[in-house]
Amino acid sequence: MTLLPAMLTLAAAAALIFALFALYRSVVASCGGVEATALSSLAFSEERIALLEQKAALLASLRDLNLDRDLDKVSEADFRPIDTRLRREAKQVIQRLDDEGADYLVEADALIAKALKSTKSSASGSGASRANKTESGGSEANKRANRGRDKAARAGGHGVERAAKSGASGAAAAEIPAASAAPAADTEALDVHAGDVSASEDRAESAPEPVERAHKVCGSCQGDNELDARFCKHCGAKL
Amino acid sequence: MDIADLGTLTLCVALVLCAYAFATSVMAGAGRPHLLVAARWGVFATCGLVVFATLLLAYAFQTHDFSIRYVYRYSDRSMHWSYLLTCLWGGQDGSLLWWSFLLCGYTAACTAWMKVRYLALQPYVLATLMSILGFFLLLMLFAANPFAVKAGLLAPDGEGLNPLLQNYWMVIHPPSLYMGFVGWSVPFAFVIAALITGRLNEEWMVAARKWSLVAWGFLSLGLTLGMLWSYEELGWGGYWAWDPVENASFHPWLVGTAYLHSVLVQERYSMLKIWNVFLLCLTFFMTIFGTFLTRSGLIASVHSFARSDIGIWFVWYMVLIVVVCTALVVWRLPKLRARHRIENLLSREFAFLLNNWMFLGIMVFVVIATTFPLLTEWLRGEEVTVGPPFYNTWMVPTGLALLVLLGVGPLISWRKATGKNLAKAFRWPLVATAVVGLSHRFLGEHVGLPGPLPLPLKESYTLQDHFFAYAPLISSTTCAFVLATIAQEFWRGTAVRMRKGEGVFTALYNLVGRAKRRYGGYIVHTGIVLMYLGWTGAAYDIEKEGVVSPGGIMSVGKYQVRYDAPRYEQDANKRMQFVDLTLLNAAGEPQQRISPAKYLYRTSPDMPTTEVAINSGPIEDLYVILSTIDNASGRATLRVVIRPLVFWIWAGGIVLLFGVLIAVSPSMKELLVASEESDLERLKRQKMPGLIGATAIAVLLGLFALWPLLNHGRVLVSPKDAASAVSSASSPYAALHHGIDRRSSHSSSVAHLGGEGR
Repeated sequence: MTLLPAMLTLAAAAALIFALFALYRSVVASCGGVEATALSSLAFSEERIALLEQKAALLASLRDLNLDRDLDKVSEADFRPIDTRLRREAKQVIQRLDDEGADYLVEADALIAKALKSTKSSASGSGASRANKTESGGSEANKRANRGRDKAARAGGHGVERAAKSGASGAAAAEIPAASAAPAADTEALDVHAGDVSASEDRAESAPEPVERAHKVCGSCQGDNELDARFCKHCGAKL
Repeated sequence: MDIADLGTLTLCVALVLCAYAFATSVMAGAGRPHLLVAARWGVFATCGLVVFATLLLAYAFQTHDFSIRYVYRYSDRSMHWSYLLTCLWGGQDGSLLWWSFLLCGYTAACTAWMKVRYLALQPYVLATLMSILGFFLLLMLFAANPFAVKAGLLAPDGEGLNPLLQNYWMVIHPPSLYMGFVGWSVPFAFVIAALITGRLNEEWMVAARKWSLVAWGFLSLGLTLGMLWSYEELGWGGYWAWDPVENASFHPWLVGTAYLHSVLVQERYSMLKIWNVFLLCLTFFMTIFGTFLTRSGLIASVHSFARSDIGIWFVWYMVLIVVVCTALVVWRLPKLRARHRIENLLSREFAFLLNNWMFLGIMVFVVIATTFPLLTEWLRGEEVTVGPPFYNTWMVPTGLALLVLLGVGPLISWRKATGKNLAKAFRWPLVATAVVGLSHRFLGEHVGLPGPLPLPLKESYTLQDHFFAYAPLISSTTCAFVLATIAQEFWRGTAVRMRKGEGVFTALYNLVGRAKRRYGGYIVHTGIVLMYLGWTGAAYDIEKEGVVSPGGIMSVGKYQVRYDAPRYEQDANKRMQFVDLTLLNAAGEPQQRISPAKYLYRTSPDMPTTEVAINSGPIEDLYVILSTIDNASGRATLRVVIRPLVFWIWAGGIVLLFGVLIAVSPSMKELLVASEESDLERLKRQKMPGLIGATAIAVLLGLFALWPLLNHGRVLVSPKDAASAVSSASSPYAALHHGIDRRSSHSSSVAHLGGEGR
């Protein structure tokens, strides 16, 4: 292994250079080289990441609890209060996550409303033959909504400055119309059972202008689901 | 400047940088958040320097730079390059550097992983990790410098590594054990950060969760490999001897296991908050205590590879840990109060608590037994040592009780178990238990595993005698019970999903995928049960020792071992004396050839090692030890041991690791969230190609700049220089040199080996 000393030398040199580079970055940062925007973006992301992790942990706890109930490891009487508490906390977290990307949700909802409006007007002028177009228009609206939702989900990244400009997220949240896409995904993740109040339904009640949405009907339980749902939120069957 | 000076200088600079990173971290936490970026880069810089120092030492070993004392004492020219790498942790000074190196690996990984997570905790996490690193750097610089220069004249060759360490398991056993020890620093850093900031909700637990699982997994792997090394290399016939150093690595494992269970209760009911903080602090404390036991040399051990007077440093550091942790817990006591209480003794949370008490009780017992020689010397002025029989008297019943709890725990409901769900949960496992128990009791004797063991010949028998006679039966029956509960858990979970229309395998896959920690944990339990099976087999060992001449046959149990002939071999590092044996079947036909041996290393002529021959299988191992050999007549003294079920210990270790892997592996959803989070980083990475190019060029330039310097170190110890140094050497050195020559040209030294053996 005559190569080994040379490889070790190479690795040592790389480690030394990395250390010097890191030291340089550290000194620059400690001398005020870090811009305030970077720090504020860190703070914004931290909040969002903490919420995402909290949401994941709560959903995991809910899944765990449901599994325990299915396996008779939690009695029905014990199940309810814990389930209610976890769901309440999960809804709060999801609400806050939605608030974080409020401006994107507004944009997404506007796109959906616009698409649906144009589809309706064209559908009312023609007959049943245009029903397919309506559906495709709905799908298009849904795609746009998804794009909007994706942007909202990425708000923790390059959307930081925009969100910061939009001011306090709480104020923005008050102006949010009925959330369509993001809560739908969250509701799916919550794996809600029949009779439960989903996050989206809560928010729909407080919405100033409810937006008409396309539904997908479950083949197993005939329950209504959002158009982009892959599993039924009522019975869990694959759609 | 040679490697020794460069290494020492690097450690000095690393210590300064470590202090800088610590200070900036603390300031970032104390109201100057913009310093966090500086602290993070400071941490990376410190880690980079420690890595550089470690690579320098590795280079010194590969180039035989015997001007460095540590290299001189732990290596020689004949060693294979892979063992030269293991020399890094073969002695005390190097092992401290190795510890620091691994800590830097964990620290850098944790710092990179945190990115913008846990911004409130992050400064104190970094500060805690830097304080631990600082302690080890101080220790190296002021008490055990691996780059210290060897006093006296330059040596042409080193003293060599302890022959017992020149075994392939030693290439991976110490690193994995160290990874386990050092790994607990990260969860400890999170709990300290949580105590300082007062953020004592679930945040720190979630952050520390996977780090603690990783550390626990490595510690388990290290312990298993340690058993394997002991079984193969020490040549005494067993795998665990309750040696102080073995115990030292067992302590943190016990407390860490207790923590992994009790944290589940806190996650669900916000109970046991103080308890979990205590357990995590204690786990870290036990890793330092273990290092203290290993390194101080206060207690005699088969692991006495590295002893020195650095024990007092560890004592002060342990005092510091106790004081800081106690102060923080007392300060945060109001925030650590539980919101709920255990309502019923028939509940899973109480089973977890019971499990915790047992783990902690075992740990306290093992600590007291390990330090018993010290305690008795201190109290009574005479050293009293306790051996394996003492440990086994207590550990067998407690171990079996833990095994019962392993099966019962998952079956009990949370909060309060009712008669109905208990009956439903226990029905099938109890049926399986009865079937296995009765089979073992009445049929075991026919396969050589009798239910109750025959009682030893005594005038009167105690309850303990009867218990130990039935212990294997209790163990096998309980193992069956636990395995049945685990199988039932998998089946019930799968059945629930199958009711939703999924196929068996899809349901099983989704079940494990959606609750990986739970089902990964069950797989870990399966591994533990398999290990228990292996340990149970020790009750049925058959052992025989005898003198055999070439051509003679030795019968042990159902085996016949024919001694064919002795055989001698030699390489640059050692001389090897084998005895070739053939295993015969009942008809006397040859089945397999095995060759136990004794090795005599050039650098340790008075320390021949025993190389056992093992014919391993799932039912039993045939373990043959060459005790002595007479070179004139070729007569060999052989010890043959039949060890049933040992295979399952190693198989259990693999299953256990598989379970840990499942528990820590990220789900698809976590990966997606991670990719969502990293948009900011992705934007930064657009600048990465330029950065990589610049780094590559800088590395090449650095290589050219460093090469003469590093090469200088090698030239210093080239054989030519060494020979010229020897020619002007004083007599002791020259004697050593000639001694080496004499030994290497002495063809009849195998006779000496035979004498050693006798």
